[in-house]
Amino acid sequence: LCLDSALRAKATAAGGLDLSAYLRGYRDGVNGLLAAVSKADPPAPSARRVPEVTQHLDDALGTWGLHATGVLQSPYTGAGVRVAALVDGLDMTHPDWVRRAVTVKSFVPGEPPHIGGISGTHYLGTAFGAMAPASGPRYACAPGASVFVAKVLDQSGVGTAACVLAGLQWAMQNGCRVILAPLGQDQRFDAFEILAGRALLSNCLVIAGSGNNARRPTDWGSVAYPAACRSVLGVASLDSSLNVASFSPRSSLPQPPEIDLAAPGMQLRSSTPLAGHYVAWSGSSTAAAYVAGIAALWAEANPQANARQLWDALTSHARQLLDSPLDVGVGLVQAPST
Amino acid sequence: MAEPTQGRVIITVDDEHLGQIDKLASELRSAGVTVTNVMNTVGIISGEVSEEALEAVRAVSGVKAVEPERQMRAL
Repeated sequence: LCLDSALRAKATAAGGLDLSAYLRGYRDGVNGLLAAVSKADPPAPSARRVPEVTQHLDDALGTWGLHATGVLQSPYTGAGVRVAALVDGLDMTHPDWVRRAVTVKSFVPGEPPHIGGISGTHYLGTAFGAMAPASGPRYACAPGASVFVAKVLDQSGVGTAACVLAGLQWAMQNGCRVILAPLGQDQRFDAFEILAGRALLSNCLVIAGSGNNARRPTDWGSVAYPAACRSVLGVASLDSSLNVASFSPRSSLPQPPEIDLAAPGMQLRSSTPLAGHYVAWSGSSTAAAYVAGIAALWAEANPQANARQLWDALTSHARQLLDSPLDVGVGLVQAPST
Repeated sequence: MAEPTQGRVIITVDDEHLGQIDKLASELRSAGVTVTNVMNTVGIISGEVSEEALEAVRAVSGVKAVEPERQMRAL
């Protein structure tokens, strides 16, 4: 009511304008501004292809993320590919993990490998979980991969950089071609940049989520480290309509890109140590887990490929999206189809 | 007199000294670092050092970066 009388007064002051026309113009202006800031900002190059607008759905075959990335059609499972994850642990008693051969090592002082796994069990499930879950549709990208779990975070999901780097070294020493690092912090970190560069030279591709600190369309957040490192493949999160998720941050610089690729990151079901065995979560580490699992498929498809070639396979086959490259990198990760 | 504050650090070894990381670790000990882990494969040394000794540690030949230890979280 206050606003209405204020606008009426303003309209009158502006010279007896028709009030409803004034308000319509105001509404259109605000809607236009909202569309401009929440979509193509900065303006996308005119040559960008506009993808079909569809919402991907969970069904009996698999989660929406597996549909959107072509995983269900891929002939590959990551078989024979060594992969690692730097997490808070893995629930080895979960029905989808209990019969799986997994190597687990703890780098957390005072915490044995079987303690924790609240977040790790979910990320590992998305990336490398079961082909045929005990219950419900498939949720995992690379069920055939040979999994190494470095427990580098304590049971509350917190750890030191020294533990994380030691876990990364262990994964490299075990010949893991893909390393999922679903963790981070806000400050620039040169040790991780240098180490990830050395990992690339040793044929280990490190993949991390860009973080969850944006509140679009008012706050674009900032990309977390290590995802922002040049030698780490940084992943943005998408919703099931393939729009960038409201919590997914934007790269601060176009070059070198902090965000390299995008992947499903909203409301995705995976394994959990909690009651019920399965839960749907949103977040940038889920998106990173998609890219890590799909990287294992590309690694199986290209057994001789080194880490840089694996990186190029992932980015060159990505599906272009409507959002800016600052938000989604080169686009949506895709599984190898042949 | 109060003890100098000890801070945890991550020390990155440069490419040229990767093969001599154990020798570098002993030089760092002489410069005042309490070494907790030497990571040969990746060229990282973690440890503790006082603020007063930081400059001497940075000056050791083969040290590329000395950064404060930091907390990482599941994202």
